[in-house]
Amino acid sequence: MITYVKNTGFDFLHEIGAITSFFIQAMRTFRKTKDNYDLITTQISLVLTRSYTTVMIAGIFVGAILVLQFDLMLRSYDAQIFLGGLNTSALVREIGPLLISFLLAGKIGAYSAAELGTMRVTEQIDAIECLGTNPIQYLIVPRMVAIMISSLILLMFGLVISIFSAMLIAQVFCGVNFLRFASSIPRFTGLWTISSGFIKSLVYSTIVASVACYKGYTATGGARGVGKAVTQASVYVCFYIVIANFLTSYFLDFIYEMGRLIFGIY
Amino acid sequence: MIQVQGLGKKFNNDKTSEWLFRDLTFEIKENETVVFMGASGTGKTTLLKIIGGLLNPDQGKIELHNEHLGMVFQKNALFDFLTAEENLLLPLTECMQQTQIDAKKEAQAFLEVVGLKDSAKLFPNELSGGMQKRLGVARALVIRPKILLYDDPTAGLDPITSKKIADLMIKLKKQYQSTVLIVTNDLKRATQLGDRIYLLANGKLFGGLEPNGFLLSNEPHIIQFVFGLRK
Repeated sequence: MITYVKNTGFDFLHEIGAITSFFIQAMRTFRKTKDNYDLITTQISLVLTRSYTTVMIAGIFVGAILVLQFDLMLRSYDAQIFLGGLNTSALVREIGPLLISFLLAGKIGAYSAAELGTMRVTEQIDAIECLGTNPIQYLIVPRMVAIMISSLILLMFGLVISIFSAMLIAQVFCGVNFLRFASSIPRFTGLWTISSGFIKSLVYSTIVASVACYKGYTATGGARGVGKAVTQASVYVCFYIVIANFLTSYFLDFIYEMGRLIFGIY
Repeated sequence: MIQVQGLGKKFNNDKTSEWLFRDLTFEIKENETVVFMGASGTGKTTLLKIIGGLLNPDQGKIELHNEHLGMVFQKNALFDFLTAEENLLLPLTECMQQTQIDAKKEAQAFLEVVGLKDSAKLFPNELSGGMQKRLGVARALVIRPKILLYDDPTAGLDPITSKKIADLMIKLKKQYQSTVLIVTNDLKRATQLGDRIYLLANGKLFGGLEPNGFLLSNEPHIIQFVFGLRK
């Protein structure tokens, strides 16, 4: 039992190290590369077109669910005036980044892992290397950067949809009109809340991009290997994001508290 | 010229680590065509991939006097997300740094050489096995390599298509004056294409003889391979 836990722990650390060094290698290549923008913009448009409907539908329902849940609690304290603020704050700070990253992991992460894995086992990546082109530069960097940039665009889009959906549900089912809903938003959702939401989204999308590309790029063993890579990419990404969620929440709250203490800001 | 000295590669799996081949030493002259034959699993493709720089050897060294090389893969390894023409445009623009207009002209010319001009807009999965092989050859040649590596170029092809590919290889070899390494199990094509033939068996190289000499060799491994005799 102890040996099993030890081995699993070492495997986990080994995996984290390998993914981190893969990400660093990709970012170094990105820094050195010029004229890669066409590939990156193509990938961004692919990610956005493949994800926006899912984000839109998920955004509508998440906004709606959240406002109903908050309403249930706030109603019992007669504090519905805070409905808009609390709902928006939760969406921007926590639910939005988490949801976007899970959707990206399921859709784009799995797709990228499968695509790269297939290219690896069918020797297409070897062929790229043989033609004197750096596969990290040609295949990995555009995908990674595109996932990271797209996550921010999708977050913005998803948040707007969610907030409007929440406003509508609040008006129809909770008796809180648009103006009342919107009036409490600035009180709970300041610049720091918005920034922390975007920082979290960037961290999670970096995890999605790194894990998915790494798993696909290092796939071995034919169709079975590709299947394994895709499954691992999806599962590991969700697992790493949950851990990252705790760490980012803790550190961002710590920074916020420090800032408040030092500069006296809210 | 290619000089290989004491080359060795280990085969690793979860439990064991055994030598696939070791102490391979040979030399290939400029513009020479050398064929490596051997039973399945003897490490022919691995040897080719080591020479091509895709794998690292566990022992020995390789000296390539010209590192500009191209490779035709056994299963073609065509970029399935690109059309036939784009498969040639990628190496021209990314590797040769040509402009899109120049690259397009060059790609068209190469597609004509391999008889695929009318299939330029088709994706690899829309091409037949022989056409895919010809596209693979064109993609390797488009960067004008001085060394060309063919991994089982006629594998899985019918005899007529196999002959067409072999004829194309001879024509292109004359046209582009490159050093050629071929890995194959097809004895007929090996004797047709090779200036010299090696046999890779039991982790060692045998032969290195011209086709007639190879067929008439008294070396037991070669006799066993050529005539299909059991041990």
